[in-house]
Amino acid sequence: MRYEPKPDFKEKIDSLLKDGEDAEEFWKTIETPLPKTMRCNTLKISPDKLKERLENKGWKISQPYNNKEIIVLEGSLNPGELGKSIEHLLGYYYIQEISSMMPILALQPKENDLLLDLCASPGSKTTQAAALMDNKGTIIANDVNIGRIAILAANTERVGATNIIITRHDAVQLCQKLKKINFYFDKILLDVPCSGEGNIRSNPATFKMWNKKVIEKLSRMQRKIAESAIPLLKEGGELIYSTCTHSPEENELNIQYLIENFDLKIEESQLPIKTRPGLVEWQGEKLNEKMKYAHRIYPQDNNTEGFFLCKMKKIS
Amino acid sequence: MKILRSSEKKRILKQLNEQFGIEKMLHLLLRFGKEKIRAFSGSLSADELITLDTYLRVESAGVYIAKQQEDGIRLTVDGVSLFKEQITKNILELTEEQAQEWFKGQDLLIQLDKNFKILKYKDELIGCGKSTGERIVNFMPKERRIKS
Repeated sequence: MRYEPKPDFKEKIDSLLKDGEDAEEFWKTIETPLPKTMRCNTLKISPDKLKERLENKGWKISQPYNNKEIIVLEGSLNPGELGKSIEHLLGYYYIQEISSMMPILALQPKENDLLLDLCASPGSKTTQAAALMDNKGTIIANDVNIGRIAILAANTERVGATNIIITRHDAVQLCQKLKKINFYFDKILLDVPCSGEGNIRSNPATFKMWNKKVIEKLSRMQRKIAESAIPLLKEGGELIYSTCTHSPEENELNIQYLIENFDLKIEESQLPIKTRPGLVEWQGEKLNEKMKYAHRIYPQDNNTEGFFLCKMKKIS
Repeated sequence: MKILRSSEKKRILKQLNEQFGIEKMLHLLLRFGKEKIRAFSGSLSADELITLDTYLRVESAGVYIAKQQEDGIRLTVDGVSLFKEQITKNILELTEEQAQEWFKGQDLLIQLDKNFKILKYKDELIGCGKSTGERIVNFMPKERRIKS
């Protein structure tokens, strides 16, 4: 079903992109289907071996980025074939959109880290972290919804991630409980629930559901989740705040609030795809100049979904 | 969640060795419910895991690798995958047609000795089934089956 963007949404995107041609490219890109992409699960197979196997099946694939784990399907497959292959069933790859691979590439969890993934389901980022950690260290992966927990568990099992502990709590309550038992983390991923403006290509119904009040409400909830999680970060620990939305109210304005109220500083991070700097000003409000180290991912830049992420470090 | 003592782990490893040739297991073993065995490789100590479970109730940890049954121990598809380099016994090679049936969740009409069998297709170990003498019973979870 086709939905039209609401005038307020269109206005917001146009003011974020400023340049008319760029905005036109944005609106054009989101009308096109998303490329099929996957991430090689290095817990089970190397990117080169997987490439060879998939090509032997007759699949046309490419690894266009400076990271061979990111695989793009160039040719077409029968409907559902990507999820039905023996390689998928055995957990050799995870069907994942490219922009959603970026938070973990920015966070770079290490083998012995203790990592908290507060809003983890369906587990694409959690399992990506487990692979980078080579099944060492520990990941606590949480989600609030029982149905989503089942999906998270099934995905972690399929990829053979043995260093993950799954819990089911409201994110804020989980943080309170973890604090009570003195659990502190080297890394935290806050991939918070958001308005999903970046997911319009895969979920055009977002156009219909979008409104300013929802964004205000989500922004408050996101701050609340972040406020609860930050005290759990060890000194020198690192945190990624990410959303699949473009709204500054859910992104830079929340980061600004967090760095003003907690001992956090924004960190630089390198990603293998084209990103744009975070906003240092929005609607007349000046923001921290280091906000430029945040990453804005627009669909027209890499033929992906839209995304936002910012890496922060706890100072004390 | 119950953390298995080393004597229990040894007993399970002995069983896995007798049935499938598995000789070593570096993971911490956890029991969920009466029969489900999970393997955890994380860095948390047994005490830390217990603390977490007491205060937070752990839904799951690590990977579900095996089920203890009266007639032996059955590896899950993920248990087979985890130990695929060590499995040497009770391997049954499948044709392409049989492998397709297996992935769809169907039992295989193959007459063999009554035992748990590891199913192999080409170079891959794709699961574990129970031979009843008349058929190989398929335990592939529904969400992992290929839908026809």
